[in-house]
Amino acid sequence: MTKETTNRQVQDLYPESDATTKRHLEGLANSISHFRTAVHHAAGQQASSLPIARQLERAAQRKRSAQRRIMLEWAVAMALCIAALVPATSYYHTHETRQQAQRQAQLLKQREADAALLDQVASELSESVPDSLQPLADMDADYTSNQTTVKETEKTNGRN
Amino acid sequence: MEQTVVSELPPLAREQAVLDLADFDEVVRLYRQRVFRFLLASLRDRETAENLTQDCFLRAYMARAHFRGDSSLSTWLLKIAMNLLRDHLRSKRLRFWTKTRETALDPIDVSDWVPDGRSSPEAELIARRQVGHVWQAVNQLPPKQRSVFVLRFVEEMELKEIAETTGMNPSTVKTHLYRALAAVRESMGGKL
Repeated sequence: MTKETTNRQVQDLYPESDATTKRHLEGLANSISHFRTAVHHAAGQQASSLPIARQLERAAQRKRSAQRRIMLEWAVAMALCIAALVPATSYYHTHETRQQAQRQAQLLKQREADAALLDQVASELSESVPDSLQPLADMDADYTSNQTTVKETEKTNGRN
Repeated sequence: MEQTVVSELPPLAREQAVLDLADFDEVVRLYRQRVFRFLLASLRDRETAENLTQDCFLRAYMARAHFRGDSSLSTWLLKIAMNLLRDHLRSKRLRFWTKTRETALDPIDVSDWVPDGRSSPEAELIARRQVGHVWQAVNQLPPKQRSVFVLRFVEEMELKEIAETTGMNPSTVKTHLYRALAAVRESMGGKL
């Protein structure tokens, strides 16, 4: 491709450009033309000296090793997943067991507290006079004994 | 032969072009340079470009029975190279931990390869600098724009051929080319 061809290709993209832009585009086309020459030259220097069969064989080997590498990567990824999953599961399991034990202990404590309360209520009910009414009961007993004494005194006085 | 577009040939010549693929050594000899050049300009990495070129011909060899001759051999091979390039760039993006290859070409290397024959050392220096700037600018283009730019200005392909190779519409190719050129021009200090 000549510089003129490159210039034409560049100018084709800007059909309505003015004279100044055209000059700029010519400079750009010139640079691109040099670039093209340099790339062609660089690629020419790199031509492989291997026979074609050997080149294809190398490509096939690379393909096989790439496939093996992909499989290995998947295997490593799976192993990592499992390695991460086991402690996570273990932690979850331990955490769950601990929580369950705590819940059971709390339930047991609650039951014990309930039983103690029930025992207290039962013992209080079994008493003839509840503790809270004991002062009244004492007063009542005092009153009864006083009345008895008064009556006996009156009887004695009456007989006399 | 490299520039022949098979779809534009009469049926007999088209069949001949398809049969040409049977002589695979000849196919590699004719098109290897072009495929390698495209990959080298796109990747800036000699070793990877060499490997992908070999992969391209291996894939072409394995799929030679499927070549129908709808396009030229050159376009077909470049299409395979383009797919390989896309896969390579995608896997490279995923393998972000891999090191940059030491064989990557730098702008100075490329500009050093500008053939001599300038009228003066100043002109040669300017040419080398221009090549360095374009090389750098092309490297910064998005992959699609870079491919279109290389196919058009390095591989001298027509817009229709580029569309066939890249699988884009000709109008999309033109848009990419326009944007690529504008980006190259801008990075070189000009305005469009």
